[in-house]
Amino acid sequence: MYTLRNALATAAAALSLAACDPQQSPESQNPSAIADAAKDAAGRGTEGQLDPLFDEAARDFNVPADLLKAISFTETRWQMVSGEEEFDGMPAAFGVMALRGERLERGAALAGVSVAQAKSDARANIRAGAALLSAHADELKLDRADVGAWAPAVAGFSGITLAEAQAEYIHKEVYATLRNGVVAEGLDGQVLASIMPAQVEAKFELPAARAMASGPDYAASIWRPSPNYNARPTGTDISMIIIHTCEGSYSSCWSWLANSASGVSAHYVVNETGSEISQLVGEANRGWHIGASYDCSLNGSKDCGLNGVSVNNFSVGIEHAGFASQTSFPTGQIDASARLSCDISRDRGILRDSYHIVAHGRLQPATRTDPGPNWPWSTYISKINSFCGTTTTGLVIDSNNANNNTAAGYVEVSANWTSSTNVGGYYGSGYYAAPTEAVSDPATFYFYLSAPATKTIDAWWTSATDRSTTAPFIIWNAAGTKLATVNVNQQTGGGTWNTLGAWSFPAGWNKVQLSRWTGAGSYVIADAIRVR
Amino acid sequence: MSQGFDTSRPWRGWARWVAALALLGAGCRAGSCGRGATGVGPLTEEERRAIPGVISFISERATQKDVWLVKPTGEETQLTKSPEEDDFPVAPSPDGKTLLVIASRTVDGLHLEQMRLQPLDGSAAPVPLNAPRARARNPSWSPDGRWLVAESDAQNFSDLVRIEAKPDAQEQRLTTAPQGCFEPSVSPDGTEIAFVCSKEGDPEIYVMRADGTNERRITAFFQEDREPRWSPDGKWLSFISNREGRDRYYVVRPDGTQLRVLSGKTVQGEERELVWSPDSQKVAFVERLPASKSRIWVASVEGGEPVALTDGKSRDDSPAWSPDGKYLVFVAERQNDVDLWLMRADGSGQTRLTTAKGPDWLPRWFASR
Repeated sequence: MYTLRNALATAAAALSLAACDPQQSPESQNPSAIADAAKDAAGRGTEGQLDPLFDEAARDFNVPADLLKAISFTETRWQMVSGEEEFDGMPAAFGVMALRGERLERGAALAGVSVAQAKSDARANIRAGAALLSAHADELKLDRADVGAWAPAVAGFSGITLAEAQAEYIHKEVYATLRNGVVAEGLDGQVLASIMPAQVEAKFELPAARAMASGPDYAASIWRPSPNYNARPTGTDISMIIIHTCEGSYSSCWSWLANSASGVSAHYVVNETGSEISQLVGEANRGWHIGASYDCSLNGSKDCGLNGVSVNNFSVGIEHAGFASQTSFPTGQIDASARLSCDISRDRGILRDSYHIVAHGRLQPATRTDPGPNWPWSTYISKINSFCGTTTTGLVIDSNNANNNTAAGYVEVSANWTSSTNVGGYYGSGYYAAPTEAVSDPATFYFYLSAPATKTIDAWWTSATDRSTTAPFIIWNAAGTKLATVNVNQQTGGGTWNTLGAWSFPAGWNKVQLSRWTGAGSYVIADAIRVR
Repeated sequence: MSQGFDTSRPWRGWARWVAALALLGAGCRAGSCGRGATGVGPLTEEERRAIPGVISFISERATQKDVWLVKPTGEETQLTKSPEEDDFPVAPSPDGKTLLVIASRTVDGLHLEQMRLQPLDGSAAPVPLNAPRARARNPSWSPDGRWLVAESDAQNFSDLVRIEAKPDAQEQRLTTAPQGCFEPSVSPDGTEIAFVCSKEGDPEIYVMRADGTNERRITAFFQEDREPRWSPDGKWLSFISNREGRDRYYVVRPDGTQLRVLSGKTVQGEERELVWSPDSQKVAFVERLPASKSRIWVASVEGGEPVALTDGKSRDDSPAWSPDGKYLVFVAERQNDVDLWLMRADGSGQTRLTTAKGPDWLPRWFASR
């Protein structure tokens, strides 16, 4: 695990020590987003210091060390990746420099290391990357002393062919990293790698200053239409969202998917920090992501037996900048993706669970493929649900506070209430039971409303012949006013929601109590309530 | 420092390091948190020769994923070899003669799965059980080995179907929920099937008779309840739930009573990969740790705090019990490779079992007959 921090604060601290003047840094990227981008990310095989390796390679191949670092940060967040082939025609990337295919081979040859070393050894990988960058500089005959003049070499190094994507990659990613600076601290407490902020401008055409249109299905996305799609079969219900990793950086990912030559696409691409999302294909259409549908009529009517009902017909694909082999995913990226998934699921009526929002690899019986073993599934699905709110399910307060979001609702009972799992059909992890008698000793379910609202209250219990037929639920508002008492027969209606009624509640902590004060000789059961 | 590059204000190297070091805060260093576990190996050759059974696993030593077998002594045999597809071992048949394998391949961008019966002695070609399609997975054997239940998308997003274990078998559809049912698990006596269904809007655990009738709901909670698995004696179902905000394992009686959490207060991370011990007294499972590490624990079904079998300094995953319950095989990412390792059931004697370059994973241990 390592921690990344924006280097501006570091710079200020150091400047006071080093007696230098602070520098102005243009804010073209959100520094906290950068710092977040690889927070908690462990460099596989990079537990050690990368700075000396970058510095050595930069010296030996006559390239700017910070530029080499900024390219590496943009590509992999300084993680040793062992990529997968995500798209046909785009070979897997390796190492902190994300070298692929022919460029990996060429860089290794130029650096005098083997391809195997360049894949798995950080030093060899960085040297191969530096050699390749230097070769681009030779071809362009650029002024090596001017970091800004290196921009065309960076474009060549990236492998991105689309001009607009090159401009975005250079200005918004690599050179923005140089301007903001970034420091990563490794597991061992050492500085893994660092870039101090510097005033530098890329000598490269700026990204088109056109108004960025929003994607047709998601307002918070940029519309970069891809030609790689076709219509879904008539009558198709979209029922799944498939999560992928690009196995590369954001700009290279969306530009590849928007390129007709690639023959692949996804509906969306989320960048490393979550600060930008591209929509490439309308949700109603079928993107050609892995697991996309097969239509024999598009393929010379070959393998028509493969048509028919298939989950592959029914998915929306989201690509995420990054790698399946990375050890964690930035919080900002997970948040942005969860908001997007919430929107898709709401618009398309997709169930928000682990069977309908799945890994590309989860289409297989077992997986070591993207988005990798470290995609935080539980958190991700929970976030999607929380962004989509509880309008469909309502707020549930369980009798076990471990299952409650206690900021929204919790239960309180005295020691006279017994926790039980003896009768099946309870909600959550069990229920409370107490004998009826003329005492004031209720079980209290508290629920919080941020604004006044009329809400329907449901209650859940387990039924048996020893239950009270007049179990008294008392409804209180946040001002302490009793709104109603509802007596229910708990010998029936177990294992399901039973509606108590609807009342107007003010903002604040309202409550529902189950009283023991009713006909003696039986039990009342406090299991769960629902506010909807 | 790089040489000769004129940025507007060069940083002296020492200033950079002072600056960077100024950032360092106190934290939990690797290996300094949590408690270590036993684990110094290796097992002697003599001890390994006495360990029963054979282990199937996936190997990626070739480009594709193939099924291999390995004995506790380390002797390996390749069982499948399909350059065009990936093969996943699922479970041996109850008679120990065949291995249920899922073959997965991509045809023109379409992902396809096919279940096959692979004779373990390599005496015959594998028998396919379904036409290749996008969902043919999570199969569970009947105890007599005559049929199995699996997920199918032949008629719906995901139905549970019952299939005779023979060529060209017809599928009997057991569920029809449009939202899908998943992860069937046949009870040890063959009379019932536990499974997951999303028809209530979120995944819940259900049990039905083996013919698809008399369905009853076991769990009720608005979060996810998944992965039902019978204890070998049929007295418990384990399942995983995120009801407390992280994935944790629970057990419950098949009638829905006596639900409780398995891992006490010791384990704080997300849990995964639960396996029942052959005597139904314990479960082994994995705790996810930060920085891609993970740790194997054993918990007693009777209660008490779980015991860590591995030290949490590497990624240790996918445990499987030996047929006599005295050993575990697991996957460890150590020494720069992903391999199978053996250990005693108390975590001692950790021994590397496979050494080929490339990941070896998904072990299934069974009694060879």
